[in-house]
Amino acid sequence: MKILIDDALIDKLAKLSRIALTEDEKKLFKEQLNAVIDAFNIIDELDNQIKDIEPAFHPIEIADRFRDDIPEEYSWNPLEQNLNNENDYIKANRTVR
Amino acid sequence: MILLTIESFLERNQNLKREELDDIIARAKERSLLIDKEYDAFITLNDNLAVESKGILYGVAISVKDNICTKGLRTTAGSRILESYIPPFDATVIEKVKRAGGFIIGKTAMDEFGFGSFSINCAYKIPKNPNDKERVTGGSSGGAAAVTKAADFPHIAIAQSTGGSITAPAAFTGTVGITPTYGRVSRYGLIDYSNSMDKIGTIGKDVFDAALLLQIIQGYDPRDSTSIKLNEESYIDSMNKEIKGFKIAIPKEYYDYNYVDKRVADKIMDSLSKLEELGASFDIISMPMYKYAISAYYIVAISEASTNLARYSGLRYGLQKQLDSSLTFDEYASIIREQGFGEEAKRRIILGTFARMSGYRDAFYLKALKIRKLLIDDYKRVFSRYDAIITPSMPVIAPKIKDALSMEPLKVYGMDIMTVGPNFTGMPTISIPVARVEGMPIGMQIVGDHFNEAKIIRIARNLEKVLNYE
Repeated sequence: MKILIDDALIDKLAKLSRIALTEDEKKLFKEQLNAVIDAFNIIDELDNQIKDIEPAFHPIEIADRFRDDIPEEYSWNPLEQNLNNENDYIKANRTVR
Repeated sequence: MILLTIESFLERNQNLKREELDDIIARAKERSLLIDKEYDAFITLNDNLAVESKGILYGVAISVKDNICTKGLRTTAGSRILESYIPPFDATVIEKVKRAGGFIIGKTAMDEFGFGSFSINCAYKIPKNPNDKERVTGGSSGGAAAVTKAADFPHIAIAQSTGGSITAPAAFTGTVGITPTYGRVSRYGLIDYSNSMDKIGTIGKDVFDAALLLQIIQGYDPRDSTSIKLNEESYIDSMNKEIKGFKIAIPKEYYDYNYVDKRVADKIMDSLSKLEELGASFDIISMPMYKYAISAYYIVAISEASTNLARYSGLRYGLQKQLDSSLTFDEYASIIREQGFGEEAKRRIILGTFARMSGYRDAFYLKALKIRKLLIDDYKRVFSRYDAIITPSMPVIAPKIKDALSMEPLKVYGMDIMTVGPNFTGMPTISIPVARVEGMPIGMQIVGDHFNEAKIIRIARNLEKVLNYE
């Protein structure tokens, strides 16, 4: 699929990826990503061959597996490596302003 | 000091006296420190060396790639974002190694989160190739291979591969690397890169070492929903059986001088005559799908990476800052991730986000998964007639570090052309050193059908005996 990554798309991708890219990084990535995506397009040559093919989400067949619904004790304290917490709760920033 | 092979060490390790074991541990510690000084092969050395049980690996030092969790021992996955992360638990493979009597000497250098083919995308030091310190070790399990090459004490490395990260460093350093079938070894405690492809494997000085450690770490694990229930095989018992009558496929595309250094391709071809002397036969075949593997592989790898790395948001562990109430959660996470991730990690996250974005998902991500099915079918067709496929491990010898650092990303991704096929389709591979070019080792990659590790290890062991590589 022919696609050109422009400034607006880089900004959108940075936002979706939650990475505050610098202006230099945006410039560098725009150029490199266009080259990489251009190379990816070789797979379009197989469009006819894959029409009726099921996607392989894993290389081997994996069946869904469920463990018994029995609660297990954590052997460690999940707050041990956490910087922002209060009364056994993790504190985070608000999600909307 | 004469270097013992582990094979001969195992003949006496069960009878070691306490003082002898203490000497071995002290020596391993001292030598690891020197290896790190010389080659920057470790991210963290273990100060607290302890043997917990008297099993097969009694007295054998084990190094661990830094993306595998070790209880109480810092695990960074080669990233600044996990610089202070100390896992509160052991990965399943670490539990197994400790139960078998191995002791963990340290965590080895790697490309950040495994993102690289040379071990130069490093947030910490770039490991150097013990064959030539100006050259790369190969990636992403570069530190694992460097320690294995340089170690003059009984040592085997736990490594990990997504698209070739065991074969590449094994080939570039002249060591033996085994990448098992997807699902053979538990991934519990592995820091995910691409969870439909990540495989924990081994790097050793010779086939015996790498096969021995695989035998110990393999097996079904209820804590990894993609691990497979199998009869656990003894590679050590079967590896010395002859390979008379084996049929080997040589896919001509992998020897095309447009993709591979002529000197490398020719050396691999030359060593095939040894296979004939051992009673195996080979045919030149065609695997025309291989040229699509690299694009399809990278699309899936970056797509999965971009979702796996979403968890590093400065919330629960890893790089965090004091909360600033003027920021939203997204803004806070964006600052943490900008500071914590290196350039290649950012590039892959951005690319992966693109490939999964609404409007492009069908054109890239889903299409790549369908191509994976075509590739699996392609391999299965070959394996219905042949016991193994043999290709060069890497298309070149290890480049100089300074040259690798200035390569464009697309050219670096191209270095995986020999390894992405089997890795993308979950086939087991073993890379063994067979010759040298410009004094640098080159590797032969032997690929087997799913769960046919025993067969490729056997071929490698037979070849190793007649090659006289060193």
